Amino acid sequence: MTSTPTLWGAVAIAATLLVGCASRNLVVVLPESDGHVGAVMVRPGQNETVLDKAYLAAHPRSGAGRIKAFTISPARVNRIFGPTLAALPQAPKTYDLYFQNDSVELQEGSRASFEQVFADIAARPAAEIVITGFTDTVGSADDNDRLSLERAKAVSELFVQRGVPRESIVTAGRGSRELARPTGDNVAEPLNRRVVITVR
Amino acid sequence: MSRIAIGGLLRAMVLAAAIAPSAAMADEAIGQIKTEAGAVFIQRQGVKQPARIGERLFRADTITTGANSTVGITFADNTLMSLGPRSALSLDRFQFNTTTHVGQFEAALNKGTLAVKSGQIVRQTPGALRVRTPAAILGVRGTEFAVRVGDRA
Repeated sequence: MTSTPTLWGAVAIAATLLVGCASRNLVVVLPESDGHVGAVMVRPGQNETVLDKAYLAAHPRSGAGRIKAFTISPARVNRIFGPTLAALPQAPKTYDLYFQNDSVELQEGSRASFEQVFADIAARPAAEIVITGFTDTVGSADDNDRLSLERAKAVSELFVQRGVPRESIVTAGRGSRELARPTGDNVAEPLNRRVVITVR
Repeated sequence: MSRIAIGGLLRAMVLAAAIAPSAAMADEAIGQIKTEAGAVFIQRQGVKQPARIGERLFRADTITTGANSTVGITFADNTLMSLGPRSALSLDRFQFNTTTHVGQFEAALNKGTLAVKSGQIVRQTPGALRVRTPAAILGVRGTEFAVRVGDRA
């Protein structure tokens, strides 16, 4: 009878050792290519742990109280997540296009960017393009949303004509949001009247 | 009698036409497979099928990988995700307004490993991307991160 606790103790130690070989839950924040680091809030229950620095990590456990953050080495991240990280798709790339007098005639300076889009499409597996129109701040917000989408749709025809499958093209209008050159309201600014092509 | 029946039919048709655009929105692809190695499957409405590069993904799809297998996905808001070997990710919720960039994205990693680069949804609304794991919910405020669901009880 007295040996039972000892036996259970041995079993517990053996189990701990076995479990030690198994993988634990893990979350790690990584630096972005531009060096920017955001944050991940880890919530196993009511308590929240904030991971807001590169290589800050945590082992979430359900039902646990506050979980502790720790710093993990890039080498260990690579051992655990190497194949996963290598499978991330290439980051999307954007190209700004400007047109003559609000037509679909490209400005001289945008021709090279336009051609680069095709080279980029050819280099990516299952490439898609997102064509996003932008306006300046002249006119109402609703009109600008509509105008920017119409412009994007008109530009999409240039890509269809050059052989890009229609189903690989998405159009969007952002109106006067994300101004390339910030201005007040009702300011005519040619630099803001643009179309941005995202290849992904 | 028949006039009433036709009237009813017309009304049903008009209603169907009015509903159709929103139904089409719900059926829109939310992402696409861009990288793949080994065995990768999509489980859609109870049917498990092999996935190829270029395959479009829809809300409620579950993507799984076998041993020594990986997959990389781009989403409509430029979020990037990838799964390592023996992983399962379900795409539970995806809403994205391409004009305002307001949206919500919820996915669940049930096993394996996941890497994420957040996109426009999170840039517009920090925290609007949530990744559920069996042990915790991860709220994302604009970053690159990796997560593993351990096999330890």
